[in-house]
Amino acid sequence: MSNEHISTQYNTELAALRARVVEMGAMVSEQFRLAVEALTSGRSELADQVVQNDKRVNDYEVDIDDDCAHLIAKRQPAAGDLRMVLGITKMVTDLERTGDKARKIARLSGAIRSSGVDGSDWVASTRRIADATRKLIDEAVQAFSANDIDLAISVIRGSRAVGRQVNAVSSELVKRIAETPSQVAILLDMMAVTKAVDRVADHASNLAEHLIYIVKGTDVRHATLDQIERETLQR
Amino acid sequence: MSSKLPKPDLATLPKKAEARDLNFFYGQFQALKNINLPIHDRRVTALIGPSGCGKSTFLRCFNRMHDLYRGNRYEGEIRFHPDNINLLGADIDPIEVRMRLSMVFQKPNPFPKSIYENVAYGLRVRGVKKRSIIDEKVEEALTGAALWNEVKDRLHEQANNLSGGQQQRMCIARALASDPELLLFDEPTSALDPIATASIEDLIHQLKDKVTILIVTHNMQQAARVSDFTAYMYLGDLIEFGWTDDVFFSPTNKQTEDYITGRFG
Repeated sequence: MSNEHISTQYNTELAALRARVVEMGAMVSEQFRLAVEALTSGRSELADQVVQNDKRVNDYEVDIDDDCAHLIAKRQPAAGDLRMVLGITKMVTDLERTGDKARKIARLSGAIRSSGVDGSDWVASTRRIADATRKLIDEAVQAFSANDIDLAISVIRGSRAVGRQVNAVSSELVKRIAETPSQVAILLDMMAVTKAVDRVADHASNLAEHLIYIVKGTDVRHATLDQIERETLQR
Repeated sequence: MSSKLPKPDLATLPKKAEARDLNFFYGQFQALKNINLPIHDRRVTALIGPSGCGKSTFLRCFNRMHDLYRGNRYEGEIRFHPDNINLLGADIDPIEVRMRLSMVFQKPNPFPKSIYENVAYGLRVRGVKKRSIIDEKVEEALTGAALWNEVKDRLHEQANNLSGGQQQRMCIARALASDPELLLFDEPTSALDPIATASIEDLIHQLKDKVTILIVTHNMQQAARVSDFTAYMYLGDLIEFGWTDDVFFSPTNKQTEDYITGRFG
């Protein structure tokens, strides 16, 4: 899909659509960064900023979906163009939900920081996992921008690694809940943050799967990593 | 991963016809280059490609229309099943061939006769004389072409009085009246409005249970809508052939992708 359409207007519309997705991706990644920063630094103004910005993320989703609908109505895209438009409508859903998770982390950060419960080990682990997760979002958006399937597969692999780290942190939290039931409310908030980071990594993986669909025409949702690698090598 | 059943293997599908190493020359100019293409039985096959790609030339080989001009030359074969005759064979009479195939053209071409006589024409040429048989066939063909209800009370009016869409459906009825085994459509809706086009496309869907259809169209969405198989041609070469679903969603050839997405053509 490197060369141009005969209609330059069509080229412009498709390029603008792709650019909006990349912009939305950058914005969501920044929201996630700020939310994790609010948690680790305790700066409540960052959390407020995330909550305020979430409306803009939602607007991006609605606008891009609307652009896709109009492009289908006006241009009747086929083959790779059609897959791109369909893929984008799914990608913006994953990006918007990533934004929701960032908002959730931001909202919980204040209560966790002000609770007085010692969470330093948990915060350090969460920070480490969240940094890896944010890299996955950035790489998924970069893979989309460059139609880079290898990078997409590496994002899917990375997301599964995050899942394993999240399981370890969750087990630790469950242990603490059993040991100190008096802190259960805050420990459940921590668990919610850990799960939110895990979901963000899942969304990054979904973005990568949508890109494989766009570029290769193969639907790899719910496939194992081995199946995905085989499918993408085949075509 | 999808749970849909895989499409049947093309090799196992019955064929109505098959081009084998087909070359065609307008004098010195080679318009078709070594075409190998199956036409599957009671399926719709669409031929697409930019102007000059050879799709109409290919279509016209089937009913030997090129024989009408000197200097035109075929090489290779078009096998026609079930009897496996070569439509292009020197021993095959083009008139016999045309008895088994019917063609519908870009613009409706009613004969300057009544609706009834237009549809009955092929039968009369074949020597059918019995009025009751002709009546029955005319009604059957007009019904098959989704025109009967509109014209049953005016069968003896001039065909020219019909609207463009009705004229084209009458031409399809005329083609159907002789029970063809293969229907050739050469851009059948390019002169029609969207409503008449939709009714012809609907008709193609209904007809394919009974007859094999080969259609040339410039309208790619039409090819996507009406056909089971699509063949993309360029400069006399067959570039890609496959299930229409695959060709329009995930073509294997870059040239096909560029053409159907409007990057080339």
